[in-house]
Amino acid sequence: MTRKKSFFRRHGYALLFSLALTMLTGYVLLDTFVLPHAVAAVETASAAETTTNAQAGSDSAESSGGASAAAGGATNTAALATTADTAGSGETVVTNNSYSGNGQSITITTVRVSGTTAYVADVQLSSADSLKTALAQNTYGSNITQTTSEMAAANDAILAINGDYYGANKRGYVIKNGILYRDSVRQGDDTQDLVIYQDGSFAIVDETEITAQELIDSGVVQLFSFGPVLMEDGEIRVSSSDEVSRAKTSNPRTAIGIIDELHYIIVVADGRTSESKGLSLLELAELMDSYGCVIAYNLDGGGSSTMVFNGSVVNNPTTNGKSITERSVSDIVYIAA
Amino acid sequence: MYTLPRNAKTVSLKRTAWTYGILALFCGIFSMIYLQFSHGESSPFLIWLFAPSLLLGMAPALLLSRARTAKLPGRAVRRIWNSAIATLSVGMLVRSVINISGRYTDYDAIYWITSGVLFLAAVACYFTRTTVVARETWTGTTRGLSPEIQVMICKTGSSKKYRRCC
Repeated sequence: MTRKKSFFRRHGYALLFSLALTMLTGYVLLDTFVLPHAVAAVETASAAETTTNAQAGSDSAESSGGASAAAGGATNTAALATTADTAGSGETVVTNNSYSGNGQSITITTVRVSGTTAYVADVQLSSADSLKTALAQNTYGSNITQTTSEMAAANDAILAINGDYYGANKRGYVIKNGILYRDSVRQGDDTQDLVIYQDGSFAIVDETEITAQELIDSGVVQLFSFGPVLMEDGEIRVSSSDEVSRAKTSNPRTAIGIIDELHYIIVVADGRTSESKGLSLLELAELMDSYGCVIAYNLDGGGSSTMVFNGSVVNNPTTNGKSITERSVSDIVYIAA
Repeated sequence: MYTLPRNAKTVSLKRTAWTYGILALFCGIFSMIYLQFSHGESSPFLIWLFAPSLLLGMAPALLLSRARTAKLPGRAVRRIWNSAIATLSVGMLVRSVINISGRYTDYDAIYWITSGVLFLAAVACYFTRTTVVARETWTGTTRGLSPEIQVMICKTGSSKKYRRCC
């Protein structure tokens, strides 16, 4: 008894302080990584329609035999039946790696670059309205996530990639589908964003030089706050001498670029596996340059990098290279069918 | 007769210095291993994780243990100082983990402010608190005291005035 009393007398303060510090740290980590904070539900005219599409989309994906990565190792070899749909305004033709219909076309090619498999989607749209973004669970907030394939199915997307993972940060502009969700300038050295205007054109803006409201007023409908800028004015903006370590490291990557009016290049590169080591930012920029991009921007990469085409995951998403598993993310960029 | 507690405190400070040295080494090794698995992402807070233990823990403890004239910190001061180092180190670790995951946080301010306040409190306490500088045993009836009674001689802060504190 005396010994116990002596122990607590000597170490009671240290124990209590350690406990308090542990509890504080536990809360900070939980709040940052786990606890969801819904701020606003996405208000769209087609909200009800989207819900219906979500159900129909997932049913369709299951019945067509397209395996999702989360369900067990999706690859770009997923067998997709060629579909011909003559209903609607024009003939819609979908193959394993291409889509054409409604005056727009998507062609996915697989290339090997620097020991890495990259999936390049060449997208030609007839209207800028087809290039959209979607938020996980149709809700804006932090730590609210969903897999890219689930969001693609919920929004009836023919092609979808992960977005900028806005929910990972509490600051940084968030503009999705013309709605301003967040107007605080983001932290960190890189404050350059990619914006998409109503006519589908791209531009690079700096959050420290223009307000989010001014962007909305100028007609911006989408904003991606990740980076860095890979290409601007047809010139590569990242270099091998970049001191930022992440720029030099090979990782799975996602990027979007514009070649011409309503003509886009979307790239998702594998990485962290024995087959694909991943791309550095310079290698990614050079790949975008080889397709003639005028502006190209790096989106969230690593384990988030995912491309979904016609309900199936095209690439091999992985966080640690050990398992091919799709990561849940905050938002996607997609082409509406 | 004076019984200075200095020797015991010096030994304790040397032990503290060693403990902080081992902690700094652990933090350094931890950082290296963490960076190996961070897929190229890095954070200066992780790289310098060993610094608080080394510069604010080991170095002052070694200096104080070797300085012959400096006043040695009491238990309260050391507890507060240790708490400040712990808070700062944990704050750096949390900040680096969050940054390496590609996120930013405002929560780290809690750690910086708390550790700053604790450091200031420890320094203030060190320079102002009443310290026992000697124990004196009085015998006989000198100065009206009972025979064989031990009294403590104290001083406050940097004052040169000593007084009997009990």
